[in-house]
Parts: sequence; C-alpha cells; structure tokens
Amino acid sequence: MSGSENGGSPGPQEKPEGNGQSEHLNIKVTDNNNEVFFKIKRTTALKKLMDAFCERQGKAPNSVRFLFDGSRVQATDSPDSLDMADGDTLEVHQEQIGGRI
Amino acid sequence: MERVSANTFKVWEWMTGFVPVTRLVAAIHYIFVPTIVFQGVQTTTVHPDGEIAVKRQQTRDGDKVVAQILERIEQLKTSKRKQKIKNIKEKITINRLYPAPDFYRPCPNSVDYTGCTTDADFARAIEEYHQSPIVIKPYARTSKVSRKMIIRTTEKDVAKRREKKEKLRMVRGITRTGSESPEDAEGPNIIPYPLCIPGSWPDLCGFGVACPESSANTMSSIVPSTTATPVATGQQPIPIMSVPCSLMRTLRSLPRNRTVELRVFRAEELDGKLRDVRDSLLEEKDLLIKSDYKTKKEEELKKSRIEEELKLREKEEKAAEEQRLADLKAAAEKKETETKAEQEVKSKRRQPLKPLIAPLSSQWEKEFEHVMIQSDAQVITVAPAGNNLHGKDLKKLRPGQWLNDEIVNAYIDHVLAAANEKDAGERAARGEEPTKIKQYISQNSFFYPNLLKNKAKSTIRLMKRMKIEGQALLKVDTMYVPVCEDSHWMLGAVRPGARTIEFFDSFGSVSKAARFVAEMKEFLKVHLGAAYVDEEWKVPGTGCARQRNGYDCGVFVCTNALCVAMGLDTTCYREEDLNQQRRNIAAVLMNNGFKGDFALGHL
Repeated sequence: MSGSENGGSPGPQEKPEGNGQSEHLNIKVTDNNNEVFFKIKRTTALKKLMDAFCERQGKAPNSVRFLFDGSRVQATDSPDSLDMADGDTLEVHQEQIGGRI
Repeated sequence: MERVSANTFKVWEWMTGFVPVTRLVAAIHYIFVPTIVFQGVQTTTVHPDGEIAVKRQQTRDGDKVVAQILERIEQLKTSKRKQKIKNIKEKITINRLYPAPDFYRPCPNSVDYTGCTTDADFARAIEEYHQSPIVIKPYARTSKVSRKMIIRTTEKDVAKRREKKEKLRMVRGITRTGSESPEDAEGPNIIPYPLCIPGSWPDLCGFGVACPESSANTMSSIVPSTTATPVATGQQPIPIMSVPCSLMRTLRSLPRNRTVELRVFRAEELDGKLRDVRDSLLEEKDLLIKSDYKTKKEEELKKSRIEEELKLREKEEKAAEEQRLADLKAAAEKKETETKAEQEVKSKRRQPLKPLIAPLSSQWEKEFEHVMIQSDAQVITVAPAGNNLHGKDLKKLRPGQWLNDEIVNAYIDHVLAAANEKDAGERAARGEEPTKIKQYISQNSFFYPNLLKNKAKSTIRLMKRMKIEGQALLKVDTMYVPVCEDSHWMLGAVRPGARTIEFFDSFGSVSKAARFVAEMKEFLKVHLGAAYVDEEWKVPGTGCARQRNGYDCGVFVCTNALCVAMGLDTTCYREEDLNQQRRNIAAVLMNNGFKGDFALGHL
C-alpha cells in the first residue's frame, strides 16, 4: 500500500460554525501522521470537515477515505447521524490500490 | 414481718403479672395448698407445721378465706381419690378470692368476684368467667431491669442464699423430725411435679412449690420471697416458693395466646396427704405422655406416608424430567444433524448453468467506452454505501489497471444486495419469514488493516453499528472481508452459516491465508464469546482461479465474491475472462446493481 502524504502540520481549531456551546463537539481527524481538531455543530455535514482537512493537508478529496469506527463516512453524514460524541476520532485512510506486478 | 426488698418485689410482680395472664387460676386444676402463693409473699407465711398467716391489709377477708381453705383441705384429706381432684379444682375459687394488691398488674381477664360471699357466688362468677370470651394476654411485660434481676446472681446473692440455706436446713431438720412420711427420708426437697415438659407436654407446665433446697441446687432459681418472719407462733418460717428460671423462660417462650396450665404444690403436702393427688397427676401425665406418644406415632406414620408419597412423586418427576431431557437431546441431535447438513449444503458450490462472465450487450459496451473517456473528477455513479464513484475510479477497470478500494467495495456491496435479495426470495418461496439479520454482509477493505493493527476488540463498536452484536453474527451466512495488502487484493469470507473461514488469493499464498484465518478466529472469539467453538470452524482452503498477470487481482476478488454469494465454484472462470469481467463490473456499477440486464437468475 502506498504511504501517506506527509504534507502539512497539525492545523488550528477549525470552526465552521461558531455559536452555541452544547451543540458543538470536538472531533479529531487523524491520518496517522497528523492530527487535526475540528469543532463543529452536531448537524453540520461532515463534508465541510473532510474538505477542510483535505485542503489543509493538500490532498485530493477523492484520494482519501474518512472512516468513523471502521465504517465509511459519507459526505452527507453529520455527527448527529453517526451518533458521534465529543472527542471522537475520524480516521483518514489513503486510497487502497492493488494488482500485484 | 420482714420488709421485702424492692428487688424481690419486682420479681414477684413480674411473676404475678405473669400468672393471671396465663390464666393460671381459671385454666384447670389448680391444686392450691394454703400457702396462698398468689397473694404475695409479704402477706402470707407458711410454717413447717402447716400454719398459715395472712396479713390483713393485703387481702380481703383474709381470715375467712384461710378458714375456707383449711376446711377444703380437711375435705381433701378425707374424701376419696376422685373426689380429691374435684375438690382441688374447687380450690380455685377460693384461691382467686384474694384480690391482687395494688402493686400487682391489673388483669382484665380475671374473674369478677365483687359481691361474692358464698361458694355459689364464686362458682357463678367463675362460670361467667368461663363463658366469657377468652382473651389471653401475653405474659406481663416487665421492665428490663426486673428481668435482669431474675437472672443475675451476684456473689452477694450467693452468699445470702447460702446463709438462707443454712438457716433452712435447720428448719428442714425440724420438719423431718416432725414428719411421719417415709418419703421424707429422701428429703423434702422435691419438686413434686414436672416443672416443665417442653415438647412432650406442650400445653402443660408444672409449677412447683418446692423446699428451699431446690433454689440452692439451681443457681438460676428465683427466690421471689425472702423468708418470712414468724408471725404468731414465733417459729422459723420457710420460703414460700422458688421457681426455676428455666421454667419461667419456657413459659415466656411459649407463643402468646396460649393457655398455660400451672399446678402448684407444696412440698410438705405432697410428702404426706397429697401424694395420691400427685400420683394421679403423674398418672395423668403418663397418660398424656402416652397419648402424646400415640399421636406422635400417628404423626410419624402420617409423615412417613407423606414422605413415601413425596418420594413417589419425586420419582415420577425425575422420570418425566429424564424423558424430557432425552427428548431435548434427541431434538438437539436432530437439529445438529440438520444444521450440519445445512452447513454442508452451504459449503458446497456448484458450476454455473451458464458462463459466469458473459459478454456485454452492444449498448453497455458503448456506455463503458463512454465512461472511460470521462474526466477523473466526473461523478459517474453512486456506490451502494453512498459515496460517489468518479471517472478516476471507473477508469481503474480499463484492462491492465489496478483496481482501487472504491471499485472493490462498491462491487462487493452490489453483490451483497443481490445475494440478500436472492436469499429473501428463496425464503419467501419456502414460506419462511424474512430474517432480521442480513445473510450476506461485508466489511470494507479498511477493516482488515485495522484488525491487524488494533486487534479484534476494536471492532466491537463497528459491529454494533452494523447491528450485528455478539452471537447474532452466527445468524449471518457470509461476511466478506476484502483485503488489500502489499498492493494485492484478496478476499476473505467468514461463513458462520457453514462454519468455515475461506481465503481467496489469486496467487494462492499460504502464509497470508493462515494469518487471515488466525485473525478472524480471534475476531470470532471476541464477538461470539462462549458460543465460539474452535472445532466447529473449518478452513476448507478452497482454491480459486489463478492469476498469472500482474494487475487482475482486484477483479479476481470481485468475481470470487460473486461466486461465493451465488454458491458457485470459485474456479468456474478463467483469467482470460477477466478483461470482459472488468467491463461487466463497470456496467454493474453504472447499472447500480445486478438488476435489469444484469439479473443473476440465469446462473
């Protein structure tokens, strides 16, 4: 499997939506090399977060897969729909490709 | 008269409080000799020669009553044996004449003797009393202090008692010399009646009046009265009575609302004239014991009968239980053979009726060619999981290209949908209810690396989200685990339905398969817990079509998944077919599944 791209450093807190306290939760996004924390609303689509992460890390959105608890996170999912809790982690995996020469 | 100490008083109060409550008087034979114990120690004294002194201020018509008593005793002496008992019974009335002094507890249960002057009056009063509803009170409540008083024996007490004993021994000597009864030689220290026969005589307790020696013999005895001073005659007094604590305890331990019969004797009387009475009473006792024995025997017989019955029933129950167990076992065996047969059927694969990989229609060929020239970012279709498949992903299906996880996962998801649909259709055809748990499930290709890295326990939450928790996994037919390792696609298939773990590697690697099997067994152990039986799980080592080129492994994985889902032999296709299969995969993805042109019914 190809190695992960090591571009970028841990990003600052990203606040796509910035008001209210209880309806926000902190989500860690990690690709084994980098950890980025995001504070987002429960109802915000995770697409925003994934796009922000890809942009920060300089990756093409369709070359990485976001997984939560081992299952694929879709662009339309939100923390609420995935039943996420404060402090949960999204794992970022690289595209898997295989053929064997 | 000697002043009675406060302690003695309390003890006495306690006792007298007790006596009426147990219906001492009204109950039955109350053989009462002139000691008038009931009246209170400080009022009555008895001398060894039988003289009685009753103090007036504490009794009503004391002298008259004593005279009556004496008369009765005279009668008792002369009457026949049968008569005696009757007469003695009558004594009750006399005895009860003495009203309780003020310091006694009031007893609402007592006979109302007001205005009684003649025997007939007394008899009527007693009759009335007998006819009135019996309200039996528990024993008198006493303060803790007084109870303690009874039990506690200090050294001082012992010394005092010894002193008394010495005094009384002298008295006894006098009594003895004055007595003609040969039994006196044995000593006057007798408790003429069994004080208490717990068990054998549940409702009867003897209440003995004994000579002081009994109190000396048993340290636990209560001596409610001190020796009374000589009254008129100036002779040595003797203590009136002593009650062993054990008796009192027994009486107290009896259930409430229970009539207790107390019989009171005086040793001197028994020695001589009342011996017959005692004998008759003892006889009665024997009779009672005998009858008790009889009832006991009967009870035993009854008990043994019941026991036998119980045993018989138990035996029957046991036999029924055994039968039930045997039935269960047979059913379980039958079920086991059935499930085994089912598993065998499931693990068997057949050849497809038509070639698995068929050429596409010209229209789909055109579609395929059209997709292959789309830009990488162009969204072509949507995978079952919901993610977009872009031109970049579909272009991996060009001949010679390596497949990526998007294609493999999406295709396997389509296979699952088709397999579940087929299964549901078969179940419906058999008239079975649709299963709650999907028969075919798949992990995505990121599952296996995670399993290797974080071990099986990390997948508990994932399975929970898939709603296949714990032993529910056993109800699943097949769980796919696509594996992408070292740039090589392989397919694992854990089949709880057939209890097999298969690993399809188009390169036929042994070590990877072994590792996969070991990891999946760990996974099963974690999720199934006690339901995991290692021997059950077989590793058939199923082969699959072999790959010789360096690019088609992803296509092998997709095709093997299809074969497993359809119950087809994984060697039913050849590597040469795979270029066509790439187009078919693309077409299925674009078609959003095995429907319409790609329905699998023909296989």
